[in-house]
Amino acid sequence: MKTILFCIIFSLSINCINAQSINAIGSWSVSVPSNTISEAGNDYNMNLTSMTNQTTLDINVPLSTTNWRVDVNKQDSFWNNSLTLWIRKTGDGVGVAGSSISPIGLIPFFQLANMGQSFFSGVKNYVGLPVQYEIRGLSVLIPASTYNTTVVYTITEY
Amino acid sequence: MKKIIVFGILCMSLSFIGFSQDTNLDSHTLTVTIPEVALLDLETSANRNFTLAFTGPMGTEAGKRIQNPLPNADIWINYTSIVTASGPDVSRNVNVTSSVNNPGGTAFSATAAADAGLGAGTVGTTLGNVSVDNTIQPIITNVGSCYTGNGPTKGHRLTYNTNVVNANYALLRAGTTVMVITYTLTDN
Repeated sequence: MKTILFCIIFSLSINCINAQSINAIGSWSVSVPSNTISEAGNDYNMNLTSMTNQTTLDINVPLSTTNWRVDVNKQDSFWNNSLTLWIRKTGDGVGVAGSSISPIGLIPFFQLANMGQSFFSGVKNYVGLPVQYEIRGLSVLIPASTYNTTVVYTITEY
Repeated sequence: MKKIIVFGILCMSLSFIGFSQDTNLDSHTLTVTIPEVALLDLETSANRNFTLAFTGPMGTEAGKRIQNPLPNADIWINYTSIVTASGPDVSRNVNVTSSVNNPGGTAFSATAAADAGLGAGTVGTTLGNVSVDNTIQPIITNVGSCYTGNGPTKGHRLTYNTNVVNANYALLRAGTTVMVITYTLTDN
């Protein structure tokens, strides 16, 4: 019996010394409606905004982790530089007992860059942390096409 | 003892399976689709339906020709265009046509001025004075992704002219001809 308990504790402890992990659930694909401009001669006058929980993040860290930080960046596949991608956290999801996050709740949009930027930080595990996107800079001067970028989330212990 | 060892290995294996699923990095794609757009309209602060009326010879002396009407320059072409980055739709023309031919013995033309510069992008190049009849022909070419601005005084100003052609004076007939002039923004 003691040996069995040891095996279980040992295996759990292996999980505990695992590296922290982040899981992003939900992508975003959006099309500009072709009837957006109703008057000839006009440019677009709008931004494209996703749902407030377009992507949800699950954060899983070992018990030994004291603090973690999530960085975010984008990696362009086929993109037009006139388009800017903005991101914000619209809530905190659900944290385990003793967890904390900073900043708390809804934060303002900030522009995503190809270089990593600090998004938010916290302590202990969270699930279902909601993220919203906005695309700005839409113009008829951008050729008709489908543009792709990849949003990358990285969690780091510190 | 053997069962315990197997159970232990099983527990450890499950742990490592869990370890291998997630990492400290995850990503997803984001896709934006921008459609082609081709919008054109005619704008004026005057009346978009107008009359060009020839008048009788000046004075009371017989033997003079009829007088040409003044040109009309009240109408502006506005357009918004998004073309593709490659392929056959990389530029467009503005074409013009009339529902019927102009009256015999006269010439009828439209001139699109250069874009007023109140929009942005690759606006079209005017072909200048174009004789308008019931065939489809370009009047502005090489329209790319652009917008001209919306309303009179924006885009390309149109000037319509009609005059008697002496060589065809014999074809003149009294009467009224209604011409519907149509402009279309089309792929090349």
